[in-house]
Formats: sequence, C-alpha cells, structure tokens
Amino acid sequence: MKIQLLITLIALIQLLIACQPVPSNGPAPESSDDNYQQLLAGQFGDYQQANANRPLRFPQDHGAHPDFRMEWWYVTANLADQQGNWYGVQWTLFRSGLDGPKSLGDKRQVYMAHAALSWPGGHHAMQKYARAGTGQAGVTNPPFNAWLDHWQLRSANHESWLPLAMTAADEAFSFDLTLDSDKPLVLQGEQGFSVKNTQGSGSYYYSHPYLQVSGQLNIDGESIAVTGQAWLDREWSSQFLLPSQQGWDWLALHLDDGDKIMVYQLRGQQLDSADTVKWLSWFDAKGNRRLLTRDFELRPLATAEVANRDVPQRWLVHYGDKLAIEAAAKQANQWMDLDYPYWEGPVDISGSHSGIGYMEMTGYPLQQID
Amino acid sequence: MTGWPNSIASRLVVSHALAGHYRRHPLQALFLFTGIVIATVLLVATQLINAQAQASYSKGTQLFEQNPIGYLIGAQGQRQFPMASYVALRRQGFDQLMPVLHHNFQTAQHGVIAVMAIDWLSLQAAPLPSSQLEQQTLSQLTLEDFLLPPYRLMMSSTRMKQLAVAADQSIELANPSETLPALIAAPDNSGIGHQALMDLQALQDISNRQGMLSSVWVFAMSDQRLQALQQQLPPDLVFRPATEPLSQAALAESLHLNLAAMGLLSFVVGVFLAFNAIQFSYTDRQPLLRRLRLSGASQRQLYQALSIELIVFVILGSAVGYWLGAWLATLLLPGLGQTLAQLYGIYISYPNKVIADLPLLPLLMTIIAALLAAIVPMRQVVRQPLLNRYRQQTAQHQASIRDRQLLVIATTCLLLALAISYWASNLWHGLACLALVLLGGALALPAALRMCLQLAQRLVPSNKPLLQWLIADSRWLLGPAAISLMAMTLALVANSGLNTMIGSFRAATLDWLEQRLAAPVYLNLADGQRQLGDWLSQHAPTIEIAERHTIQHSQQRHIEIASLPPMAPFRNSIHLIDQVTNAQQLFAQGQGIYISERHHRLDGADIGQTVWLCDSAPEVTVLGIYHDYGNPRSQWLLDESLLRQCWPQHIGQSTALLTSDGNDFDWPKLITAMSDSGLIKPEQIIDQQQIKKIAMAVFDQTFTVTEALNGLTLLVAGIGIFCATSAIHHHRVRQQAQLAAMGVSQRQRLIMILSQWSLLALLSMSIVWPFGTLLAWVLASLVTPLAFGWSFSTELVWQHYPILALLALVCVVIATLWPSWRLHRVSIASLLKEVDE
Amino acid sequence: MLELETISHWFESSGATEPGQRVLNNISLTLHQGESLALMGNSGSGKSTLLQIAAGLERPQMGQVKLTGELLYQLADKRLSALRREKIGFVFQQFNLLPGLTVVDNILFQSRLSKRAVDQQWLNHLMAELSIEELKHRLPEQLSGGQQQRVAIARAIAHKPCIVFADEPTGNLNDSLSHSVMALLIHLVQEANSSLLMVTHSAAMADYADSVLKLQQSQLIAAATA
Repeated sequence: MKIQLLITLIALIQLLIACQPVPSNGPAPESSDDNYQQLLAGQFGDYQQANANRPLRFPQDHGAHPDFRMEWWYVTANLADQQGNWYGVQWTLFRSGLDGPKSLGDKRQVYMAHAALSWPGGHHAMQKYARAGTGQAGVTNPPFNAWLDHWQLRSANHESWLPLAMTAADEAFSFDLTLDSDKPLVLQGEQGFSVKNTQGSGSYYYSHPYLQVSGQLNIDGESIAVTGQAWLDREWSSQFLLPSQQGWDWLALHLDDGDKIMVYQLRGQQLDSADTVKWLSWFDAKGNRRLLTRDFELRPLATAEVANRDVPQRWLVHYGDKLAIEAAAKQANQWMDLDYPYWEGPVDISGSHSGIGYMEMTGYPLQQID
Repeated sequence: MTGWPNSIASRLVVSHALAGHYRRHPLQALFLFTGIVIATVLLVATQLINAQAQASYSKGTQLFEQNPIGYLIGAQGQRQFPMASYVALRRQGFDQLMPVLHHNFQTAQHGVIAVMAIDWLSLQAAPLPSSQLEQQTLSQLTLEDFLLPPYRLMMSSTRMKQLAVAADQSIELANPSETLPALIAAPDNSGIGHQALMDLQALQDISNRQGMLSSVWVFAMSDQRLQALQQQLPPDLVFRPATEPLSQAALAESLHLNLAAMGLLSFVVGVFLAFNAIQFSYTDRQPLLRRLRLSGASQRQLYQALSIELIVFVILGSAVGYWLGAWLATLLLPGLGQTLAQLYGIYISYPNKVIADLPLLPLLMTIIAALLAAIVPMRQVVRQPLLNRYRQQTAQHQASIRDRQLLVIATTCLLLALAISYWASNLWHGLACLALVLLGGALALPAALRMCLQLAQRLVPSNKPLLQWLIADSRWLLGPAAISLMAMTLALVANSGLNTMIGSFRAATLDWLEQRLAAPVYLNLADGQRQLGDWLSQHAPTIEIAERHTIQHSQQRHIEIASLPPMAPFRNSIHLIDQVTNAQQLFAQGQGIYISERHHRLDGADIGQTVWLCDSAPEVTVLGIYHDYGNPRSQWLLDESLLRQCWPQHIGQSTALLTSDGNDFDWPKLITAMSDSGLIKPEQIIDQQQIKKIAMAVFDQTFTVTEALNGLTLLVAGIGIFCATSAIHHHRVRQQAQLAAMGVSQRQRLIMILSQWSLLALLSMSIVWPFGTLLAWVLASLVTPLAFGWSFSTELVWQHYPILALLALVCVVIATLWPSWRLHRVSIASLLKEVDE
Repeated sequence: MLELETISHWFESSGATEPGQRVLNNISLTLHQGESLALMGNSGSGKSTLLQIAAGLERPQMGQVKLTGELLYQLADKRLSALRREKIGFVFQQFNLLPGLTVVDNILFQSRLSKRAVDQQWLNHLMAELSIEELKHRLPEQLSGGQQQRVAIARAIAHKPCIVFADEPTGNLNDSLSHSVMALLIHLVQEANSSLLMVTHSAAMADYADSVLKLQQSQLIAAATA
C-alpha cells in the first residue's frame, strides 16, 4: 500500500465521519483497502445537501458544483473494431471536496481520474490525482471541458455541448474517442434527484445513455479503430451513502432495440436489511422514461474470485413479465487495481432482451484466510 | 616441583587467582574497562555518522524512497518560476513530475528552518510506513491537515530532537505573532533529514509566494520521453540531471575526514588509558605472579591466563563502547546534517531508529591495540626475576628510562613531521604531520615534566619540608600518572591547536568579509530589478545598482562562476594573492578571469593558463588568484561584461545598492522610502552587519561538531586521570600515613595532594603551549589549505594560554577530587601491622 | 606525662561488650618523662591496639588518654597534628621513610615541619651514633633494612619529642642488628630526655626498657623479667 493511499484514504474516511476520530464509530475498516464506499457516506461538512427542490438546468449543470462534496463525470463505452472484437473503455473524473470551510474555494477541492481499457483477455486501469485551482485539473463550462493533466472530456466545438472528445493515456495505453448523439440526455430519479437511502438523502443525477462513439484505441503500441456506444453518468451530492451501506452494484444496459436500462443497488450490511435500496430506471429509444421502480428482482446468479474477493459475475434482473434478463460479465478480470479498487467491466445481456452494457460493483470484502 | 597437568582446571585456577586481584582493587578493573570503552565510543560514533552520510550520498537525493533523475530549474538562474510552466507540461502528458518549492524561515529561537514543499498528490507510488507506531501516528492525520489551513509541517524526529521541539508544537517565527504550522514526525522512509516537509500550496500560502515553484523533480522515464520533455520545455526552464552521488561525497570529504580524525584521536586516548591500566594491574600483581610461578605455574600458562583476561575485558568494553557509540551517533547526526546543509547544500536523510548497522573495524582495532599494548608489560611481569629485593628502586628507575625512551621517540616524530611539512602535497600528508606533532607532544611530556620537577627540586629551600615532599612525590607520581597525563596533554594540545586555528580562521574570514562587502545595502530580490532601477533613477539618482550572478560551469560541475559588478568599490575589494602583470586592467576589460585559492590549490589551476568559459569565450586567461574563504566549491570570478558575453539573459541572484561617488548617504531614509513605496518588503533588505552575522554564524556552525568532540576528548582525559589516581590509591596510602604520623594535618595533606596534581597540570603547559601553537600552525598552514584550499596566517591570542592552563587545572582538580579526599582521610594506624607482600 | 585512664576497648564488629570479651579492659597506665616502657603479649593480645590508643590513633570505647596534660581525643585535627609534630616521634616496623627525599631531609622533616631551628650539633651527634653519616645524601630505596631503621630512629628523635612510640622497631631485623639498633634507640631516647613506649614480642628486646608490662586477657600485668 502506498503512503499516499493511506493518507488520502484515511483522509477521506475522516471526511465522511467528519471530525470524528478514525473509524471506531464507523464500520470496522476491514483489512481490505477499498473502504471506498465510506468515501461517499457520512456527514457533509460545509457543503450543501441535495434535495428535491432544485431543478436541473442545462448546459449549466454540465459543469462543476463545488458547493456539493462529491461529483463525477463518468463515461463507459462498449466498442468493437472492424474485426468484431469487443473493447470496453472507462473514463472518470471525480471531484472530491475536503473537509474545510467554503471560503477556501478551490483549495479544498481535489480531483481524481480513473481510466480503463478492456479487451478480450486483458484489462488496464490508470489513475491520476490533482488539486484544483492550479490549472492542472478542473472543469469549465461553457464551453464544457473536464480535464486532469492530459486526460480530457470536452466539447469539440463552442456552440454545443456535443460532440465530446474524450482522451486518456499513459506510457503504453491510450484512447482518443468522439462521443455524439442526436438524442437528449435523461434525468434520473425524480426530475434529477435520486434518493439513495431511507433517510431521504440522495444525489443529483442525470445520464446520457445514447452516445455513439468512434475513435482510436492504443493498446500496448497497437493502434485500433473502434466504434460503439457509450453511457455518460453525471452525479453530485454531499452524502451518497449511509455508513451502514457497504457498497453498490450498478448496471448500465444498452438493449438491442435502442432502449436503455439503469439498475443500481446500494447494499446494507445484510442484503435484506432496510438500508438496501435499489432502483430500476428504463428509458425508451427516444429519451422518454418508461419505468422507474424499486419493485423488481435483482439477484446474483454466479460469483467468481477476483482479487481475493467473491464478486458476482452474473445478475438476474426481473421485472414481472416485462423484463427477465441476465447480465453476464464478458470476463471476470475487470478489477480496477487502483488506490480505490472496484470491479468495472462490459457485460452481455441475454434473456427477454439482448444487448450489451457496463457493470460496476464495489464494497465486496476481502476473503478471510481460513 | 611437581608438574602441573595441562588441563583446563589448572588454567582456571591460575585465572581465578589472577582475577582475584580485581576483587580487591575493583577500580583498576574499572580503569581498564573504561579505557576500552573510551577507545571504542567515539570511533564507533564517528564511523556511524560518516557511514550514514555516505549511505545517504550513494542513495542520492530522494523523497519517500523515490529518486529524481533530474530537475527542471530556472534557465536564467532564477530562484523561482511560475507554476504555469509546470502545469503546461503536465497537460502535455508529462506526469513523472513533482513540483517543489523551497523556503527558509527565520525563526525566533530555532535559527533557520529550511522547508521543502511538494504537491502530495504528485508523489509517485510511495511505500507504507514501516512500523505499527508510524501507522498509528499517521492515522491520526488527515489529508485536510496537510492541504488545508492551518497546515502541518513534517519533520524528522531526529531534527525535532535537535531543535528540542515536540510533535504538535508550532515554532515561532522571527516576525512576532507568526508561527509555522504544527509539527508532525516524519515516517522512517521519508528520507527527509535536515529539511522539513510541507504541502506545496500550504507553503506558497504561508511564505506569500503564491503560484511559485523553485524546481520540478523529474522521475524515471524512458529516454525518448525525457528527450521529448526537454524539447517541450518552455524557454524559462532547463533540465539539469541529478548530481552524481560521488560529487556530493567529494564535496563533503573534508568534513568527514575531520570527524574520522576526531574518532581516531579519541581511540588513541582510550588506548593510552587501557595501556596504563594494563600496566598497573600487571605491576600490582607482580608478587602474585611470582608466587604462582613459585608454585609451579609455567610462563605459558600465565601468558594464556593474562591474554584470556584481556580479551574478556576487550569484548565487554567494546560491547558497551558500541552501545554508547550508537547512542552518541544518534545525538550527533542532526548536527552533521545541519552542517552539511548549511555549508554544502547537501541534505542527508536521518533514520528514525538508532543506527543499526555496526561497523566491525573499531572492534578489530581495539583488540589489536589492546594486545599490542599488553605485550611488553605482560612479558615484563611474567618473566620477572623471582627475587624481590630492589623492587621499589627498580620501578622508579624503569620509569626514568621509559621517559627518556619516549623523549627519543617524540623527537623522531617531530623530525618526521618537519620533513613531511616540507614535502606535503595532499591532505593525508597534512594529517600525518598533524598526528606526528600531536604524538610527539604527548610522548615528550613525561621527560619534560621530569626535567621541570628536577629543576623545581633544586630551587626549593630546605626549610620547606612539605614543598620538598610535594615535588619529590610528584616525581614519583610521574611513573604511574605519566600516561594519563599524556592523554590529557593530547586532548589539550588538540584543543589548543584547534581553537587557535579556528580563531585565526575566523579573524581571517571576518577581515576578508569586511573587504568584500563593498556595498552598504543588499537586497534579496527574486526579480524586479528593473522596477527598482526605474524607481531609483527617479528618487535617488546617485544610487547605483550592482548585481551578482552565480552560475554552475556547464562542463566542470564543481566550478562555480561568479560575476563582479563593474564598479570601483567592488573591483577594489578583491585582493589578489598572485597575479600576472596588469591583471586588474585586463580583468576589467573582460580579458581574463580570477580563480579562487581553492581552485589553485586543489584543482591545480594557475595563473597564465587558459580555460574554456563558454562557446563565445573559448580561451580565457587566468589573471589572478584570490582568497575565497568559506566556499566549499572552486570559483571563477569574471567581470560582469565577460559574463554577459556568455550569458546575456542571466538574471542576477543578489542585488546591492551603493553610491556612485562613494560619498555618505542616508541609507535608512532611502530604505524606508523604498519599503513605503511598496517596492520591496522590509525582510528583503539585508545590511552589511546582517550578512556578516549570518556568514559568521555559518562559520561557527562548521566547527560545532568538532568542538563538541573536542570537549569529549577532554572529558575522556579527565576520566583517565581519575582512574589512574584511584588505581594507585593504595600505593600512596603509606606515605600519607607517614606524613600524618609526623604531624601534617588533614587539611594540609589535602591541599598538598591537590597541589601535586595542579603542579603537574601547570607544568604540562610547558608542552601544551608550544605544541598547541605548533599544531595550530600545522592546521592553518598545512591541513586547511590541503583540505579546503583556504590558507590564512596563524593568529596567536595571549588570552588563550592562561585559559588553557586553567582548563588543565580544572580538569585535573575535578578528576582527582574524590580520590584525594579518600586519601586525605587515611589513618596512621594503617602503617602498623603492614605485611610485606 | 603520658596517662592512660581506665581504657576499655572493643571492636564494634565483634559486638562484644562483656568485660570478658573486650580487647582491653579497664587499663590504666602512666609514663613519666624519661621513662621507657615495653609492652609485650602474644599476637592478638591487643598490644598494638593499646599502642594505637596511647598514640592517639584509635579512640578508645571507654577511658581517656592524656599527653602532657592534654586530652588527646578532645583535640581537633589541627591541634592534634601540631602535637604530633612537636611532641611525638614514631618508629614503625617498616615504611618509616619518605621515598623521594634524601636521608638528611627525611631526618629533619619533622623538625622543619614544626619550624624549629635545626640543632646541627644534635643532628651530627645522632648521625654519628647511628653510623649513618655517609648515608646522608642517599635515598631510602638505596639503603638496607637495618640502615633504614637507624635513619628512622634518627628521624623520630631529631626534634627531641616528649615521647617516642615504637611498634616492633626491630621486627624486620636479624638478631645482632636488633640488639645494636635497640641499644641505640634506648640510649638516644635517654639522651634526648624523651619517654619511650614500645611494643615488642621479643623478651630480649623488652629487657632494654626500664619496665615491661604484659598484656594478657585484656589486662596489663607485670611481666617476669629475665
């Protein structure tokens, strides 16, 4: 483990249980290093609480909301090359507010970026950090530009938000993609306010699931032209999780008929406890909501051992007679082995509908050594 | 005589009998033990701190175990540049970079605190703290603590101990009501030593240097990437590869040599003591050994028993010596680190735990030295004649002979030293000369004292019986006490020599500083000279600005190139030791350079040679040589015009103000006007006095470690005298009893005993004074020039000498106080019923 | 002139306080000016202890000692030292002489200490009687045992003390030497008009004294003289 990890880790643990001493009150920190969900739980210091009374406006809300503690710009893409090989790409910029007064401005904001490339039999994850205010990282809008060092997600021209240019690179891996769409973005939850727990707190959340992608990947020196679909998630809040919520599972599915489904589940200590919250969000091919429900079945069908954890690989999503699908990971080894590790990778959909998508799972504990 | 079975049992019996001596005279055992300990302690301590420094050098500069391969620094010599340049590079994809800012804070009571600040988030993978304790300490921290006000200052715990501060404390700055952030101890692998560590934005905030960087560390990247980086550099930055570990070691070589020499000195003193103790214990056991031989023990058995006994002492003494040495090293390391930082700009890392790496050399040296020291006395005592009649006489007579022999050896040493001083060409010769002078002085001491006492005896009138006895007994005392007095002499001569040398050096440096500080006011401007120039031409047209540039030679890294402002006061401030004809004129025309004395002495450069300066000045003549005290690097001095020829864009590092006509000027008024106008801040102004103070403070700093060790050797000598006095206690009891029987009161006897030692101490001055002066001369005229390239004349200060005598007196009186007290209380009754051994 | 009054002594470590267990029990003794007295007894009888007490070297557990009217054990060290300088002379069994000083300096040591003018005649007489004139400038370590004792005697009497204490003065010498040294001692003591209190284990030596007392079972008894 890295000292940086430890410092930032402890820091962020602190900031959730704001101003309390190191996690003796919170859930016992496991010997695992992904107390990542604790990043998002807890008190919110000198930040605003998300609530249902704030309508989302665009293009303003594409930019950053420093009054809220955490925020991200999250893109996942299911791609294929001319030979039909599949590829997965992830680009994320996180903004995290430290526990300090508002007067500090940019000084209390820290940016973290994750990027990943997946291909049959391989997976490469990258990360970066920077502080806000020096120009090294930031988000401006309009025109929209989110960057950390040379990783960027920005509007390609000044007139409109789309298309977006998305790039990330390290010594041997990189991607340079363009994301465009003729469909609108969609608001999650109730008009963009997504409830996350029984106490009523939640986040502002919108997505653009209808993005079409084209561009270049560079995998270990080899350049590959790809096309495909992408899903952009935008979320910001000051309190995502309760300390009692262990982690979450998230699915972003592109159905073959053009519909889009988003499933997420926040897991409590026990799967059947009151703290477990799940939502299913179904949009049609034109951007209209078809369904928003908590009343569906979500069950892991198979797990695999990944990075010493038991991580589900196949999920059943069942809603009455409308939907009965299995989302299966294309490959098990999609572990993001970063300072905040989690599982994220492309999935295949089969059952009542078929398609492809992306899945993210966090908070699965390290196996105890027997 | 029945033969003894050569079994372990008989050997044990012999050993047991011999060891029984120490039960009755435990102080003698302590004496020997102490000698061994002393021999080992400083030797181990200095070896350990030198080794720690060397380890640091070979690891190279690092932070959290990451070594930069080079640095991005200001291309024109600017000490800082805006962060935007760095951000631009990062946005081009160069992420093996870490921005760094250096700042020195002037504190109220803790001197200067050097702080290095980094962007925590740009640290490349750094390992976890290595211990549970560190983990706990760190887990009480948060990222907020470092990144957000009121911030935290990370310091190595060794440095904190040196400053006598604790975690969570805030050090006060010289500016009242300002403090540094609260302290936190650095983890073991941080690699920070003398410098403290902070977050970059935090330091920018508290030092009011927002958006500025001192340098950017470049970490390992492929050659292609590095090339690409260098091509992408903005014009205000340049890439400088990391210093070769060797060059740091070379720079600080003299300092480490000094430390090693101190350790050796202490080793020699310790061996002296051990030798003394060995001699005592053997001499005292002469009757016992005789009896053993008479009972049938063979000489071989006696040798074996004595050797084993010696080895046991050596191992026990060395063990304690090592332990104490390690402890001492932990204590001394921050002092060394500070000296290295201030003198050479070298930062070594401090380990948090006691230095664990143990050098074997001291142990070997001690064993060999002890065995060598014991051979002659052992032979003497094992092979002694079995009849005892003239023992008393023999001992005194032998002592006389011994002292004469020592005098012969001393003379040889001095002659050798003389010879070496003529032909000395490198530092080792100088040090050898030094050692010979020291040794010569010490070995000549007993004979000198004997002669003085003989003289004194003739001068004492016969109606002063106590005085008669005092001197006669002092002559007897010389026998057993000579060696510990020699050790004390060694320490005092070294002390005297060093102090005189340091005094002379200090005087020379101060003198030289006075010469060189040609301007009344100096400004610490990062840039903004142009604004200053404009303002001055408006408000104070008679004031001129002089700039000083310093550049590192691009090919010969160890050479510093400095410029001389083209004004009369500055030109006149350079006094040349040696020069070609018309040197000043040629220099002013930019037709040549001056070189520093160090460059001449140590690098072999000389006037008349030509050197390569830069592409537009490939052949420049060396016109003269000047003194450059205190500079650990060789230096070339150029007229500013010549500098501009080679480096037209270079920005000066320091600015001075002076009047163009050399008349008096109301400087305070001008300074107030300048700071009122917001042109400069008060803390940017440095006056001559301040500079002198700072320079002399650094000077004094150089010798703190030496002085500490000096004090220690004197302490060591005092211990030796104490041991010697205690060991001969029972020899002196009888005479004291006789004196008491004849009616000499207790008070009189105590005064006499103390006076004896005082007399010997004062008579030692007959050696200490001349040899101390000689040593100072060797140090000033031989060793320092060879080591540092600085030469200066030895300045003798008369106050020094009586102070030395006082020091010797105090040392001796304190050391002999308790043994003398014991002695003066002796009872006459002990004279009765004494049995001859 | 020397008076011992009801001296009783025991050693603390032995813890014995019963009269029967003491080293010395209720001993009284008077020595007049010019008298000589020999103390005899077996080894361990306490004769040396009695000498020590009489000479002011060991404080008795009970009783007192007066020398020329002064109570020895009431005196401070300064006064006691002065007394020793002027009025007492010691001759020990060995280790009488200061090694670094010549014979003549040794002899005159105590006189010079008490700042008396040197009686050159007396000195010459002493050295002649003791046959040590040629040894004047020798050092003690260059003398034989007998020579050392003779010098010791000279030293003890040179300042004409009131009393001379001698502890086995001939203990280290052979028979013929012993007799000659002893005879000289008695003779010179008488010449100086000093008293002599000596301890000896030899009856032959004891006979030289005016009177002989024996210490037996912590009591003084008159000894049978030859």
